[in-house]
Amino acid sequence: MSELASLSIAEIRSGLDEKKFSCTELTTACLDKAEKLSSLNCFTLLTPEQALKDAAAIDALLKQGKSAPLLGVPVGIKDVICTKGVRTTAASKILSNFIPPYDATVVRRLKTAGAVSIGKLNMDEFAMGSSNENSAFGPVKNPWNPQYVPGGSSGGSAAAVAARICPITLGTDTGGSIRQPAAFCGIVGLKPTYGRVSRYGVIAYASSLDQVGGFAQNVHDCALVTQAICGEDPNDATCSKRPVPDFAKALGRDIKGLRIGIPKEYFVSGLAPEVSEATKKAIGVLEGLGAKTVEVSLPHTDVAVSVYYILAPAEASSNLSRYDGIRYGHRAEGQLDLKALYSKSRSEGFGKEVQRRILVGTYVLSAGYFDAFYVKAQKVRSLIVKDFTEAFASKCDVIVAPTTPTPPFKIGEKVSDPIQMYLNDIFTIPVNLAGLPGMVVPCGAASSGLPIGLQLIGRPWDEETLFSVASAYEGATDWHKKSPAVAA
Amino acid sequence: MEFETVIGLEVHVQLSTQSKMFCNASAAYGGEPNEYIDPVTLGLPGALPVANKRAVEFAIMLGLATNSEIRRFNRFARKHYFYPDLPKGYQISQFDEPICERGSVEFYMGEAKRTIGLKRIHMEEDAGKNIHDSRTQASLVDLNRAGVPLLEVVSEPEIRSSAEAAAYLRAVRQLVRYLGVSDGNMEEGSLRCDANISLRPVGQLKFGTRTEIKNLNSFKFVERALEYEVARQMALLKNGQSVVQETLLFDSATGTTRPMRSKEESADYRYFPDPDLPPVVVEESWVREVESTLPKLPARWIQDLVSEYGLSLYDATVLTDEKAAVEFFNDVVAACSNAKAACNWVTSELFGSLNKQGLEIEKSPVSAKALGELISMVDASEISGKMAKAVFEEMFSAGRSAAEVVKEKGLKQISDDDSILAIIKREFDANPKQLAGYLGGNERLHGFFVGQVMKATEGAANPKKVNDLLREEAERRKG
Amino acid sequence: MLSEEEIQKLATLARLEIEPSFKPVVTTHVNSIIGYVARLNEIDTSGIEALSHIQGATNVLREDAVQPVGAAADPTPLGDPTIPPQPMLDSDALARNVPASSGRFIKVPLIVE
Repeated sequence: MSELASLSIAEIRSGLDEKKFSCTELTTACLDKAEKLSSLNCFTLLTPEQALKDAAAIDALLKQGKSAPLLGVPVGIKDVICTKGVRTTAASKILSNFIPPYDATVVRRLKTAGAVSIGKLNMDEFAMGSSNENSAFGPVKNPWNPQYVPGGSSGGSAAAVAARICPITLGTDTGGSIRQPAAFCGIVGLKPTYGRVSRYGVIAYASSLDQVGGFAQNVHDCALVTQAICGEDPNDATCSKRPVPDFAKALGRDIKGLRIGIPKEYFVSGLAPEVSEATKKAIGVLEGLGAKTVEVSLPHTDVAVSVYYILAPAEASSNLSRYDGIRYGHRAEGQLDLKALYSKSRSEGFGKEVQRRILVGTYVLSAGYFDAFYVKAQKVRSLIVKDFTEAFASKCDVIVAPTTPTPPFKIGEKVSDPIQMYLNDIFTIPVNLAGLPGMVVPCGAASSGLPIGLQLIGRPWDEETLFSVASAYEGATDWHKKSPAVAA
Repeated sequence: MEFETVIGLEVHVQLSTQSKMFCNASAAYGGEPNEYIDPVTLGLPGALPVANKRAVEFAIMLGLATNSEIRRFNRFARKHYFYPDLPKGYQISQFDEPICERGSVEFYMGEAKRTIGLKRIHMEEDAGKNIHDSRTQASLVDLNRAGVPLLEVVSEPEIRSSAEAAAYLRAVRQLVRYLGVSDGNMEEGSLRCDANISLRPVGQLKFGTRTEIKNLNSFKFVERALEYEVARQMALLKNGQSVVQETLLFDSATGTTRPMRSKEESADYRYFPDPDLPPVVVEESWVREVESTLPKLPARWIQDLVSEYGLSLYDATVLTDEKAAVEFFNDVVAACSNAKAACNWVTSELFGSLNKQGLEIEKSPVSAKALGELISMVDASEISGKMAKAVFEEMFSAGRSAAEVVKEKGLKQISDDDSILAIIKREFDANPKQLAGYLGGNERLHGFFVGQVMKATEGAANPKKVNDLLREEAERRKG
Repeated sequence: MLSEEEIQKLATLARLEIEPSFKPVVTTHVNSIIGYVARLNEIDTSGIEALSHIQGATNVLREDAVQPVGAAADPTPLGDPTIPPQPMLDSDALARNVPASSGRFIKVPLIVE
């Protein structure tokens, strides 16, 4: 029954409603597939017992004739999102034994929607990374070729969907951590507008940038998972109270006359020809569908990485102060005084990339450097916001751009040079800094055979236009129908 | 060389909200260890703060009460340091944008009015509590208090003596209790105080090197610690030595201060605006709304008591010590229209009886209205002052009205001329020898007859009437 | 350029104990990151306000109300979709994860004040 795991949500829903298979059978198929593809290392934890218990409860509801968009749909959850009673580690040794006593709001929403979680997905430790090589559970492998990275930090979330282990997964995106792995794995991923989704229960990396989003095989499924997780939350003051539109209604909408902005700063030297070509081809497809393209300028694109690598480590160094081995998590052994207990627990618990970012963050916040680094970065961030505001105000309705400067790279290729690794996020970071919604759909393949993704960037709160453009593009192309050999 | 003492106080006021500053856990005092916990209090991964509106309003209230400028655009900032009672590794506070600035606190020391400027008042969250056990080489952490809202009130270095510091602290306590923003209970830690202290030669503008004394948790300790520290610094300076800038702990057992070891490492708090908490904008309309809920404050009360009620400054300060007392007093005056008598009754009889029973004025068995009625009866000469005290005692112990007690005990004063005159005549006739002396001009015998009449009426005769009628009857008999 | 000693100071402030073998590597890395981000100095930001909160929301405050233990039910499939305010947790929530305790207290090495 392993073909059940490959189904899209539409197929699952009709299958369940028409009693072609049960939720228990479906869930079992996904769990089996996860076991079968364990070498990809997508999961930090599978929860078969809980999943099958939940599936049985869903089967009872289905018997009563109940139906809902995500009822009985298996889902995987990035291990940075708290799940009540289920170990949540952020792929860090420092949380290797942490059992949250509460559910993140997005988990609560998925449970209420009737989705069934099969387990927790591997990631870069504390969501810090672009290759999923910084995990205490070891790297995730790209399902298209295990020698390649799946992207990061939500590498497990992207790989699990690409490998057709489960139809949808949740990830988080702070500087591209949904969009870059979606591109590298050839699937659909959306980072909603900052404030659209509650961060409550999502282990914070950089609070002003983090946002939860969904991965899916296709745009329709992505709309459904996004719909399920959006909405206000009394427990997150940064989560907006504005009403959430019906994203499914935006699918299939005509894009004739829609103005598509092409940011000239994204097509510069350093952009791999394969990526450039695939992106331009995709733009051609959109033009063929009646969209008008217009060149726009986002002049501060090239400094966005600098802004990000000040602000994100600054916030991270603060957010990670709570991991001290005192109330929960890893505590160093031995007769230690208080200060040694802190230092030893934290050094044993945090991986090298995390320690590196904590040091950078501590430096940019420290006395004497705060204004030159942190305040300066927040000023430049204002300029980056302004770039987008101006482009959207008069020139375009949506921006289309490459997701990454290069196609997927090999495991180990960039680990020795942090700057090279960071620069992989050059096209995704500005979107987080401006708090905008960003989406990725598959749009090509590199000579390596690995996928290339197209990035769509919208106005604040305008996920609908992204869904319209993505679904129009998907309707005109076949990239979303391709899946890696291991998925079969 | 003469030295001047320079003291600035940082007072932490724990707010009496139901819930904590940034989460829905109880802010109650006490409880089982670690009973008032939730993801935010424990600093769990993924927990997020949401600010308590009431706590912000309390800050605005104290700002208004101290004539502070209220900041319109407020942000919370994270202050970083590692300590087991600080679950997140940072305290949510305010940094360079405190909600209140440039206010002042007024109070009296005897007849002298003092005004101490305030640098700032800012909102922040409390830490938990650590209990130290050197026997087991362990400390035990209770997070019930972690996250309880605080206002930190920072004075200018304008306090000039330890007594003034204590008086200032009392004034802050009085203010927060009037406003109802805190119970100001120092034993339970609702009011805590750190003091910065330095000495400088009289006439010198530049401040001397200061030390900071932490955790002064009673008025007595504030005074004692500062006295000790003034003397310590004075001795150093007079010996030509210098004061080292350091953080000190007051040891109440020995009455001395000692350096805090945990503060040896120089701090770098790495403040930055908390991205989890959107700014709080305090519009003028919100300030006005809060202002309309403010009670009448001690300074205003004192002014009115002195100028409108004609009370002495001393009486006014005694009466206004607690809001409940002055409001009680005010209700008494409303019932009897005699402020001076009301003041005497409230500050002596009532306070005395309440003290003896260990009762708060809110629990007084004699209501303000009842006390007012009693005073009115005295003023109308229905009972004597002496009788009134007995009546009050009965009212206090039995919770009855003055009229009831007077009626039941037959204590009503005899004030009608005919009854008193009849007794006077009877006494004159019964004591002819004394009468002759009295009529002959022996003034001492006037007292004798007053006594006789009072004895005959068991003290119920109106003494003034007795006086007047005795003289009239004596004149008649002379004539 | 930050020296290894300066990196050590930052590590102490952040309560990290950097492995001796990692120290030169991390020093190089931190320096290259700081050198890279310092390019912001070339941007003219005069008159530009520093951003602190992206969506411009203000006064997102909660009413002063305690949510007792158990005030919110666990989510159920197709149940009430309203997100309840987070209630308090029972003592198990602490006990289950705390590395060292004594009764209801969290136990830590002796703090010297």
